[in-house]
Parts: sequence; C-alpha cells; structure tokens
Amino acid sequence: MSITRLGLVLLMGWGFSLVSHAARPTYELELKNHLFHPDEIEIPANTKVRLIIRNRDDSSEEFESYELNREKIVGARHKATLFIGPLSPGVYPFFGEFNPKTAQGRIIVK
Amino acid sequence: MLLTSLIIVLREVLEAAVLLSLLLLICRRMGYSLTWLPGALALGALFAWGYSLNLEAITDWQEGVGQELLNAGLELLVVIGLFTVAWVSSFRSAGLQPRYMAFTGILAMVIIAALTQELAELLIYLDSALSVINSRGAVLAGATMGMGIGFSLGVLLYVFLSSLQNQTQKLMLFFLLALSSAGKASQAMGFLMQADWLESSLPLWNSADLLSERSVAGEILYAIMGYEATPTAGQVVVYVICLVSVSILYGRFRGLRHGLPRGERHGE
Repeated sequence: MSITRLGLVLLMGWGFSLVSHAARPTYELELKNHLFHPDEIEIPANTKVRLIIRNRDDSSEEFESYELNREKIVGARHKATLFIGPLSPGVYPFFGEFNPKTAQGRIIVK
Repeated sequence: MLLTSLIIVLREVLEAAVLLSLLLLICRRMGYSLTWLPGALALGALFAWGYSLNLEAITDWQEGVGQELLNAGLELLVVIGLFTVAWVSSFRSAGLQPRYMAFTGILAMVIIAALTQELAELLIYLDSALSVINSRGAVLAGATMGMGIGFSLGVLLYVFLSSLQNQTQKLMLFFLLALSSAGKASQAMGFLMQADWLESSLPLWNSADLLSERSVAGEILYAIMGYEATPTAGQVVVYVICLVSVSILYGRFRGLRHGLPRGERHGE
C-alpha cells in the first residue's frame, strides 16, 4: 500500500509541475451544414495549440480524431475549445462523429 | 445514417457493458445480491440526462474546458472505485467480509460515474440525430441494434467469466480490474491534456499499423483496456502504475489465501 501511495504522490507532484500557463497559438474552425470550414489547418510542429470550433448548425457535433487522440462535443450554435499537440510533422485527419461522411478535415503539421 | 447511429451507440454501450459485467460478477462472488443495481442504473441515466441538458454550461466552465474536467473527474472516480474494489477483495480471503452497504455503494458509484459519461454522449447524439425527421427511422434502428449488440457482448463476457474455474476466474477478474482502471486513468489523463491542465508530449509510439483503433479488434480493446495507438509517456506511466498497483493487491490476495502472510508460509 505504501508503494502505491508513494507512486501516486510522485505522480501528482510531477503532474502539477507540468501544468503550463504559456499562451497557446489559436486556430479556429467553423462547422456549417455538417462541413468543416476550413477543412485543412496548418500548425507548427512540436507545438501545443488551441483549437476553437464554432458550430453554426442547429444540431450538436462531436469533433473527434483517432490520430490526435481528441474528442469533444460542440453543442448546437455553440463553441468548444480544446488543445492539440505537440505533434510531429504529418497529416492528422479529424471528423465529426455524428456526421462522419461529410464533416471531415485534416490538421497539417509542418 | 443507420450505420453511424449503430457505431456511436455500440461504442458507448460496449464500454459500459464490459465494466458492468465485471462488477456484477465480482458482486456475485462476494455473495451479495444485485438489489442495488436498478437504482444505480437509474441514477446513472438521470445524471447522464442532466449532463446532456446542461451541455452548454458544462462546456463553458473553466474557460471552455468543462467537458474535459467533468469527464476526467468521472473517470478518476471509476479508477478510485475499481482500486477500492480490488483492495477490499484482497482482504476477503483473510476471512473479512466487507459490509454490504459499503461494498455495493462503491460498485454503484463506479457504475453511476461510468454511465453518466457514456450515456450523456449517447443522449446528446440521439437528441441531435432524431431532430432530422427524414432519417429518424434509420437512427432509431441503428441505435437499437447498437444497444442490442453492446448488451449481448456484455452478457457474453459475463457468461464466459462465470464459466471459468475458481482460481482462473479470480485471476481473470483481477486482470480485467487492472486493465479497466489503467484504461480509465489513461483516458482521464488524455482529457486533462486536452484541457491543457496537463502538459502534453509527443506520443511515445504509434501502433496504428499493428492494430488500428478503427478496427473491430481495436474498438473492443479500447472498451476493455482503453487501447490507444499513440499514447504519451505520461499516459503509459499512469497505465503501468495502475497495472502494478492492482497486481500488488492480487499478490496480497493470493498470499493471504491460507490465512498467513506470504513470508511466513515458507516458514522455519
């Protein structure tokens, strides 16, 4: 039990030490008629960025990406903020889980 | 539309069904009834409904990362609950029977927390998808099928685990407890990184070529053990800590089997 406790304390200490309050570059996406606009965004490599998604539709959508390991519900006529990265150079697809055939996009990391 | 609905509902129901099967079998092994279960399920559904009704407020909380914080919080409750279940079970073999209210209370807490998170997404999706009149039939059909498949897989798991011989069953239950807690802890960490409450790092590896998260096997492993193709170092560390912790508890469980601490069994 003491090993577990020690491990948890160390983990919490390490975790809290990592919390960063640095300003993040911000990018915006819009969702209209179950389509992302723009459907491609370029971000710098090895940088954590803020992504704001504005849903202009009357129904909610879930922004999701296996490659980015991110998922977030964006309510109807509402916006959602999430952070992605840091990522190595490449193309990272994302989609709207509620409308996967139309709501598709890519994050291009250079 | 049917397929989309089926997949979304199946993914959420499967996660909950796996956990439910595991906990119900543990409850039965401890010799307790399941009279607490309907209440727990109802409360989970109620909280999920509350989550879906308050989505905007939750989303805007804490500068826009309320969803991540709530999801991480619910997942951490599940982790704490599963650890407690493993810990309490480890004392059982020394002849100590936990109190009914306390033990089933922990099980109920885990189920309520898990259901709140899984069902909320399901309800939000259905509310959104059913608003389109043309595809209502397809959405409902897909949702029903998804629920049916998820529920059936949960029952299958329960039956399989029930059929195991005593010692093997104990091992499997602890193994699944370890994987479930590790998976949830790793997911909670993922949400905290998504919220920028924890720093992120580049993924430690990419196993998507070996096992894609999109494949059937990948989705099933996600439901059982929180499989991710590109975990960060932090998530791997948390995952391993959970596995080790539950293994230590299992070691105690086996060591106390004959009523003696492990060291004394090989005594002078």
